[in-house]
Amino acid sequence: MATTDKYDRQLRLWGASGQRALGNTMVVLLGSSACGTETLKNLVLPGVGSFLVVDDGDEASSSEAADAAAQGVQKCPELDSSMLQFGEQSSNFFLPAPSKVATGGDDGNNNKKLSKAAISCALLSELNPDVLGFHYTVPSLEGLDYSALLEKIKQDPPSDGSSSSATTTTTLPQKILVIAADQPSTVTLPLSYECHNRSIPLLVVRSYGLLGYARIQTATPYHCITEAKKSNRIPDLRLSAWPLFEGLKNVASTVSNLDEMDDTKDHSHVPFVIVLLQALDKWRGTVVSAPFNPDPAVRPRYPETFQEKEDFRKLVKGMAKNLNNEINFEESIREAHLTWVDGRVSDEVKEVLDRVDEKEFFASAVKSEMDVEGSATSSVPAHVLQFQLLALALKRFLKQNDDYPPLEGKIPDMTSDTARFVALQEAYQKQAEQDRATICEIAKALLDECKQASNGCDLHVSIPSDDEIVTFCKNARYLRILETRPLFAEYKVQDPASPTLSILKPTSFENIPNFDTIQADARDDLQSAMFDPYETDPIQTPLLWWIALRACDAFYDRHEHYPGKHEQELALESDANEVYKFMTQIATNLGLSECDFIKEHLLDSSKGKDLAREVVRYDEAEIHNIAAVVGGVASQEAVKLITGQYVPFDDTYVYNGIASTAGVYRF
Amino acid sequence: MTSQKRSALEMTNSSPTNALPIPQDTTSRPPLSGRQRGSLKTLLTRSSPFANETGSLPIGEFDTSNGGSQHATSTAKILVVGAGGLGCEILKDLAMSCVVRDIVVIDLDTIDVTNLNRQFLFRSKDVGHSKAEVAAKFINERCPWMNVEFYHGKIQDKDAEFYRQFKVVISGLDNVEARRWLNGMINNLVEFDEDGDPNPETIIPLVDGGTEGFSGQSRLILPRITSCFECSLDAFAPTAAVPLCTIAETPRIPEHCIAYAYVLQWAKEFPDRKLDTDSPADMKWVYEKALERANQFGIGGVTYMLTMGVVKNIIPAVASTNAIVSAVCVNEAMKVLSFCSQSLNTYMMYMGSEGIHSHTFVYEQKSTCPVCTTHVHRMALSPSTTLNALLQQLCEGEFRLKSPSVTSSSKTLYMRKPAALEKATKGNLDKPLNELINSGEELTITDPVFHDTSLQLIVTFE
Repeated sequence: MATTDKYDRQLRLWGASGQRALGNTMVVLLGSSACGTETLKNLVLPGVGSFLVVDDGDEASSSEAADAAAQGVQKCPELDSSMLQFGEQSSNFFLPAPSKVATGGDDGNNNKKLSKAAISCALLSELNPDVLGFHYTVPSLEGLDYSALLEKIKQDPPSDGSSSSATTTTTLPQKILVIAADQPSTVTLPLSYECHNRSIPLLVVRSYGLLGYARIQTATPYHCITEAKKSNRIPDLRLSAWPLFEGLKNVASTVSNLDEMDDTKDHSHVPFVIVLLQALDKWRGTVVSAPFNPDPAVRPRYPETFQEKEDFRKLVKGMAKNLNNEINFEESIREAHLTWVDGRVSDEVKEVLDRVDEKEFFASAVKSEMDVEGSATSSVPAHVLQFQLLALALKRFLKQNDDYPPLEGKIPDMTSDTARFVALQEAYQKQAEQDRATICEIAKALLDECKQASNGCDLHVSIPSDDEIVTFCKNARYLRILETRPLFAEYKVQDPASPTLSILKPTSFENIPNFDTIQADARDDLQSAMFDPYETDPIQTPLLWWIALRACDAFYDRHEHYPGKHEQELALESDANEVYKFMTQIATNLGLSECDFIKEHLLDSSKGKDLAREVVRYDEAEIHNIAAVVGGVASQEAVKLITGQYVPFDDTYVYNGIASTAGVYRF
Repeated sequence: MTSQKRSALEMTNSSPTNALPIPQDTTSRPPLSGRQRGSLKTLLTRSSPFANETGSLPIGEFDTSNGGSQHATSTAKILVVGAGGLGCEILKDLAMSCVVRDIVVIDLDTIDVTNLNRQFLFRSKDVGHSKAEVAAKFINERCPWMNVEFYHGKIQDKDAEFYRQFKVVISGLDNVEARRWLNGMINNLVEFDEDGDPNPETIIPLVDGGTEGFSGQSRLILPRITSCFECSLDAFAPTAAVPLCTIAETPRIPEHCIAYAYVLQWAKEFPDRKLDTDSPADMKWVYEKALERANQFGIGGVTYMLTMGVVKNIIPAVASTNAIVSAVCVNEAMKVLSFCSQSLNTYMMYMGSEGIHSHTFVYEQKSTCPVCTTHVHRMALSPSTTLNALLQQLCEGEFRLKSPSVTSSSKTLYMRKPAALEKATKGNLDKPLNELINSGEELTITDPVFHDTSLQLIVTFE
């Protein structure tokens, strides 16, 4: 082995800063089902800081569960063979299904005493010695006071005791991510509500027969993405920004007129950036009747129409001495669009910037006098304030710079001699540094203004580190924020903090607590999603199956068990009829009843009822493969939410393991 | 609580870290985790409107009457190719599906410390040991109902007889060449009846997965019925190499300096020794030489990590993507063995960097595929083209061959093995084609990239 870093392969994706963010996060898993442990496995392996498994006790030993609950959050027990009594019907790799051997033996006592949360905690901890595992067993996840649970974890996160309770930790405050696995709405709704109130991101994961889904609920006010890591970034060359920045102008002027260059080797090593700039001057001569006069105050012509662009490419081609041997000219023709591509920020970035407001920022950045010393926390999380500060600095920067963001400072590789390439690279880097310094100055000025406005109060935010400013500026063209709709808002319940079963329980099919309040834009999104069904077999379009799953939830709310519990043909058919009624109602509540696709495949009972029959067949089966797919997807999104890199989906991913189709929908 | 119970917890834990219990609603109900959920057995014993035969790629008819017993007593054997990022997941998924107990896993690799962030059947104590062996042992120990055998070696070591014993083959390989070979082998096992139809008994479904960073793909290959891996070779295009003159004369980016160090400088300094990319000493040497060259040209950005990445052509890999792709593959294997639901038709693509884009579609068979069709290829060449030039073209063109051998209907034109035959036919390489064959003659090309598959090529003279 040539490296000793076990994280090498992932550092190549999210770098040291992403790894630090992971290491500084505690993942709280509610429910140790296969879907939950598979999600957690993929977070323990890459080195999340710590995790806490919360689950309720076995019904058989509820008194023991009560005992365990009374003990509060526990450290991970040591792994011993009694935890590894896996039986053949296991579908959870980190929680054995009680095998006959395990429950039969006279030593069965030992095994019995450990709760599900404790065993899965031990088996997951064993995957990575860097990660601290904790577990907590409660009598029931339904009716648990999630407000108190989350508050407690936030205020007093479990630790390994090595740093004791003293505040020796000088590191950043630990972040929390909550995952709810295979829980009914009586658990997910209050959880969703409490996470929302505390700005904690939540992932809800579900595996159900051959179907599964993952739902993201971003932390309030929104999830900030500085490093979207877009795959096809357009090089930030600023060839169409007028006037050209000094550094670029200087390097370009070192190359004499290409047409008069005699040295063929030299000619074939002029970087395409310079070839294009010379070609542009030449082209202008062909379209402007008056001799071209480079007046820096007047923006000159650029190829605009299709014909002009074609002419420009032809002109570049004509400048080559021998196109077959001049790769730089080949590149010039291929990259000709970079001559006129608009380097100003996109509408998408403007939308992000529209969301930040100086006045609001000032209000939330100032530590209020009401704050008690020590618990001075702003309602807006520190990392969001920092993002807002830089975004506001960028906003002012754009105003001064005709909407051009700070230069990225990176050029793509291109055919060139070394000296010219390095000179070009330096010119871009230097300008980028200059732009960064400006951003930094603006940010400082913003903070000063903020202090002044608050009569010298302390602030919740300070100037970010150099590294953070560099990252922000390099990615200014791709800034994103993501704000999902909170899960509880999908339901019409009076009090999402404690949606007791009596509220959820539908008294008639017409008032099931689903989707009475779906947002108009989400409604439009769903309808347009219906124009893109799974072509090979439209009934396998994931949205249809999601509706069927939601109907199973409604069934549970009504009956306190999932459909398909009883195997008799008649019972199954009767459950299917009921599930189907819920499905049609949910489709209507979603605003999809007029949609042709839904009419044909769901509302037409000859087809729609088959969907219901299939989900009833499952009896909420835990199928490991489905749990593993959903766990993989959820953990990938968790990494995005934790690191602020890449773009999480918005907001529900549905996997249909019948035909292996998947889709993302926004509810 | 009895003192006995208490002590069991205290032996394994230190005192509770957070002693205060969380208040619980007084109306709380029985624990949710205690509820009985269905299992795979439920699926296998209940009929479905979406059984395998109803799908767009029907393979077999679902029968619930022997569903439960079939799954418990199945004698089928599955081959898992690769015990790495995908392989570890595949083995776990199979053990947790339990449609099959008997598995053979093949991998030639040993465990490296950089595997540990995702290959979860390995621990740091296992570094240096055979991946196949450690993975098989782990599964057999945790899942005693499983019987995983292992082979620590190359897939090419095994013959058709070996591959024929499996009901399904699941491939979790990290390179295109091994996937091509395996695909060729499994396709070649198909036998045909007098009418030229494939004998279904000889069709072994091949489920193939691959990942790169946050993206991946899973597919179901029914040899001779659906498209095969070779049909999609174009989708796995090799990355364009940097011209040697750039590396030698006009380096611009750190990668060029690194290439200079390990391609040119190493060969000069150590003509008799191959660079050991696993040796820290060797890699440090390359890194230092690359850095030296970069400094000389004023190029920044040469780091040890980048050096490793360039020299070993490292593809970033994470646990999550492996989990997704593997589970989709095993889900297909489970369905193709039990017919309890429809089959993937035929390709699922997954891209997870910007949101998630997944796309399931029928990857069409390539009508000219050299592996799964009997298509005869045609080429028009100048009669003066040498045999060597023809071979070169077969390597660089769409076929992407590695070391082709050629026979015509009447004689052997060039054979690489055995050595004696190579020696005897070597002289033909520089001969023009018109001295060796007639225009319109059909040639048979063989190459180790496919197992035992030949390419039929008619060469006409221009």
